[in-house]
Amino acid sequence: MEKRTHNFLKGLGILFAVAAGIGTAVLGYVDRTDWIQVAFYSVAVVAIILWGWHFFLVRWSYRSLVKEDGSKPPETIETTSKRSLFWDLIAKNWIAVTGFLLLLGLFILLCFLVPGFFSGRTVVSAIILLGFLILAFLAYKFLNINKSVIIGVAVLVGLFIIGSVSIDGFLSLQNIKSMLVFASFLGIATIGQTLVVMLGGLDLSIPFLIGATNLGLMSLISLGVPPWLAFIVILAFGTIVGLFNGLISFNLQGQSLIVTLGVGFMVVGGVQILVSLPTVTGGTVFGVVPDWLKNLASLNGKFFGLPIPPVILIWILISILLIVGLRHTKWGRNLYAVGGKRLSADRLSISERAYWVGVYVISGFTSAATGAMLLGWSGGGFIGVGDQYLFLTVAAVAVGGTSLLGGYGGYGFTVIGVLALQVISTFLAGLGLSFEGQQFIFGLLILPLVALYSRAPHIREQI
Amino acid sequence: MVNQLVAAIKPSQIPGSDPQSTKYLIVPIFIFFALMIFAMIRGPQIISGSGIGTAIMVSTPLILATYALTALALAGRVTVDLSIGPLIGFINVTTIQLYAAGYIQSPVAYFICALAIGVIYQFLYALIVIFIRVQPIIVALSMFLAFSGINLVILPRPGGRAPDWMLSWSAGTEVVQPTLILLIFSTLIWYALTHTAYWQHLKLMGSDEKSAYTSGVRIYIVRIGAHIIGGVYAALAAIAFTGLIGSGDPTQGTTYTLMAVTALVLGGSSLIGGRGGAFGAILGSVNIYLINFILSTFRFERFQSFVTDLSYGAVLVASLLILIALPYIQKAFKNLSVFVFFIIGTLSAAAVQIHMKFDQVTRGTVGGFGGKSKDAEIFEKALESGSDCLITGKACAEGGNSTVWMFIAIGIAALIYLVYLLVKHRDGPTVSFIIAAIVIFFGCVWSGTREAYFVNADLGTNLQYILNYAPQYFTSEYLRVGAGLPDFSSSSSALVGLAYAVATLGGIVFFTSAIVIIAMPRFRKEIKTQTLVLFAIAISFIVFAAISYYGIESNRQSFFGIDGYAVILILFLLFLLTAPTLFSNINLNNVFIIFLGVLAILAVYFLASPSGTIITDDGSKFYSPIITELIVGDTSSINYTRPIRGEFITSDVTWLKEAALIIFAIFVFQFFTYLTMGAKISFARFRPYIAILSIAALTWSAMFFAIGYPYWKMILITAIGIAISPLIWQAFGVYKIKLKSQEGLEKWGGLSEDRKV
Repeated sequence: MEKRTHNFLKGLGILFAVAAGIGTAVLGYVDRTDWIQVAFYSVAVVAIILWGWHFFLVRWSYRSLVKEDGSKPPETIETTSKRSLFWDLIAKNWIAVTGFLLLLGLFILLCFLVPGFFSGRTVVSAIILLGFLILAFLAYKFLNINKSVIIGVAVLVGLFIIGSVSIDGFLSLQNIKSMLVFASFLGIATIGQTLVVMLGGLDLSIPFLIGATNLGLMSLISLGVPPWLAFIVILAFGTIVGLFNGLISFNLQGQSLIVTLGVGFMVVGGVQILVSLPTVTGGTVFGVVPDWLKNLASLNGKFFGLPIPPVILIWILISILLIVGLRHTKWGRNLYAVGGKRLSADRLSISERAYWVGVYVISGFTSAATGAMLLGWSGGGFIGVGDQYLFLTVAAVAVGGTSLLGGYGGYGFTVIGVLALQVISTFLAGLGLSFEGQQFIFGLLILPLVALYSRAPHIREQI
Repeated sequence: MVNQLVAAIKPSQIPGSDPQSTKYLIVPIFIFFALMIFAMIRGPQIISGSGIGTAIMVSTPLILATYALTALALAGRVTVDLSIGPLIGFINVTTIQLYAAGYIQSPVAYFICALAIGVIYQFLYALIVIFIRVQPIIVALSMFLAFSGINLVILPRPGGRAPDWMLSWSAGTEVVQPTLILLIFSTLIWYALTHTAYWQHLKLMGSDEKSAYTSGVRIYIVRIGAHIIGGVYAALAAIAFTGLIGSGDPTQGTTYTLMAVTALVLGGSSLIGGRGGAFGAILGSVNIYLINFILSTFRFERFQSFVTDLSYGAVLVASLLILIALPYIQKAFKNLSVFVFFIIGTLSAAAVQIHMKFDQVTRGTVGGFGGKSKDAEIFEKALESGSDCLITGKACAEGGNSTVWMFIAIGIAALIYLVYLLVKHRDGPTVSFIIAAIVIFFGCVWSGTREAYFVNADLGTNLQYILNYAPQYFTSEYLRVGAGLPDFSSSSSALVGLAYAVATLGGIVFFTSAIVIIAMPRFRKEIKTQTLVLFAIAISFIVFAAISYYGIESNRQSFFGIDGYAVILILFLLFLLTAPTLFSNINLNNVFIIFLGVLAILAVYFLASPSGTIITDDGSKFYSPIITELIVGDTSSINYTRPIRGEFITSDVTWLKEAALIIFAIFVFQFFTYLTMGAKISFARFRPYIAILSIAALTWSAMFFAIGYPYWKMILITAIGIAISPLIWQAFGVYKIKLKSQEGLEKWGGLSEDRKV
């Protein structure tokens, strides 16, 4: 390949990209979309086409150019490599290509079948999504970063794109803020789950503990206990439950799932009895939530005057601390060691019991904190407030890519998982589905997401 | 013959001789009988035609769901299918809707449809687990969510109507019903499955997948098979569930999942894989039913669901904790076969049931004290005195609050002691018997007796509220040891009454701790022997209190309460269970177990009522617990007559029967004593057991006396038995030597060493 051809290809790519960008803008104008979105899509289309062009044509043509200049490979090899520019790539990745074509076919089919589906906006969205998929696939193939991070980010961005193009107001400040607030709740609740899973356990008492602390805090406040004291009492309660969990499940590690489920039910039942003893009604209690707690977690919360709910910042702070801590402190490294191989950790004189109990204590504490903050968000104690976290915490960890067998993963992965789940649920809610429908699709969506990368090795490789 | 018998007993006692050990079933069996006895004391209607029918009807879906979970859990990889509840709900609502739309009208089509849904779902599940290689728990959680959602879409709220042919399923008034047939059918299939080579492969794969793979088991096929079995049983569970509720209910998922998982764990299956079976599943599910039943007799009113949550969780955690102790339990019970353990439990439960039956009749006919509930007394008392002690919930003790404090002190001391033991000796028997102690204790102090006719009384809101709604935790607060006494100044019986009460209660507390000590293999023999003596004293206290107060006054009211007999009986049975571990190098276990079993069977035979049935359908009566009945009557007119129980016996028992009983009892006593001595008769070998045998004979005599058997007859039995014992042993011995010598002659052509014995 000559250098001239190469330059020509490059120029053609840029031209094509700019043309597509302009086309997008025109389509957007015709579609009477908001100008911000038009600009966003146009830029996105240009960028993606440039990227894809570079990867598909320019990069390989340039590589073959360099090869020609350098070592002069034999002619036969050159012909095959010429062919490989396109066909070889397809032959190697026929599954991905087939999937891609299927998606394309599905889109076209939808355009024909569903009236009103075909519009400038959907076309552009489809182009962006497909381009993004190619991008993600290439990154997965050729970049040397942690693959589950790539997939996680790819899924997250992909979902975000789908959401923003198909739902009005998805990109609005209010929506993003509320998504972040919910993600913060889930993120804080998932801290403990992540650590527990990294040791190979599971903590299913989290949802029950969240509900119990939520109700308990409200009840304490309505009984006249000073809110700060009640807050501390609740956190201490969560810690104690976590400690109990850790201690009794230490000898039952394979069944920690069931142990914690049982403890969870005990906590829920016990707290409900205690709460409803002094009152006449069972279940929900009412009272006045202090302003600082409301401010902490509600959407209109302010952080030193900034219109950002403090809970988001707390979550970000904890995330950074935890990610750095897991990576760079002795405690974090030892945690990986215990999760990876008990025997090796034991030989390094790392106390398995201390770490096991420790993560459960953290889990109890963070669950209690989530329960308390959810009270600030909702303003009324309700035992069922944590119910959805039974599934969400495990799903966030698994979707993020932390191995349920322990020893691999981290909180950074979980953050991605939390955000992805949040985007999915907002997206499903934005589609106008009923709660049951959301649940159904959500449950079905998790499987492929986890299957993307959190797969166990084949039994052959385990031996 | 004797030789063969002795030889036949022994192999079962060699530890580890049984590779496919089912010893893990001891824990579920123990929990089952503890719950069963407790349930019968709380609500005797559970043993009646309708009671058993309801139990079968309600627990069949759970049993089938637990089968499904067991099959999956056996496959390993922590396959706890948390989606089983929503899956059952899904099949339920789908079939209901299809039926309503006019599609699957015939039963066959209905079954096929349900089974197809279950099997297809589980097949897909297996494929996902095998080929996509996602953790099974993730699949379960996803599908849990998906099914919960879709169920509400299919059927937004509980409703609909089960097929017409299924309507009779929810009657549950008879033992033999369609659900039972379904259950038996499913269980038979299960047992057929367990006898295939496939099942061995499944267990191998569950306990170690890598070994299974390397030894050529086709693990994909096996796993798919396990899931298909799970699917079939899930579908059958859904059908039984539909029959039970007679409609569609999309919201039951979460509860059912939790119940099934709890039942699985309670049944002793391992979630890690490789261990579990149908018997455990049935026991676990029935245990769940019993817990529910017991809770429902307490009538917690608005607390009911909370208490249910609490107790499910607690039971789940407790049963898992017992699993930790399982190796120790297996070690401790190595001399005991599971089957024998089950028989003992059955016998003790049957004995309690007999007592409940007879005491119910006695109360009904005699009337007097038994006709009045504790609430009635509290109510009358509140009306008379106008005091506010009820409203504040404080103790209403007239003799001062010191009694309450005494009980609290005893309780705390006992608790500390038990905790100490638990910490110091974490082994199976300790855990089991502490649980037994707790069960008995709560059975004693917990009252749930509520009568509807107090509600309308004009007592002011507070008192009404307490009477109607407050759960009475620790009703020992209401103990009034001195209250029933006529007068402190004019009567001298105060001291007597108090002494008896203290002796009784102290005996019970003492009993629990003594049981623990005896059961503990690690204590020295001397300590155990001393404990046994003290234990015997405690039992005599209880028995004495029971008997002496039974016929008190003309209307024969008894402060001890009829329930006391039930407790005493349990104590005896437990005693006879534990005493053998005292000298565990001898096969006393089986000896006493069989001895006990025969006696219990005799008791059933002779005590069965003239109508010939021990099961009644009258479930309207609840019994107050024993301690709350501790209101001592007028002790000035103690009447040591024969207990009224005898009235039932004399009419039915002929002299022939009695003679047969006496002869048989003597024979059994002799024979098992002989076996106890290891078939080698000498006084030196017999001496260690004299204490045990005497205590056993005494307690059993006392019990028989308490239920109305004339004392002179028992003295006769003992006298004859002791007098002729050397003769009988001699006869056994001669027979044995003869056998041996014959054997020896055949072998060697001469007499063997055994001749010298």
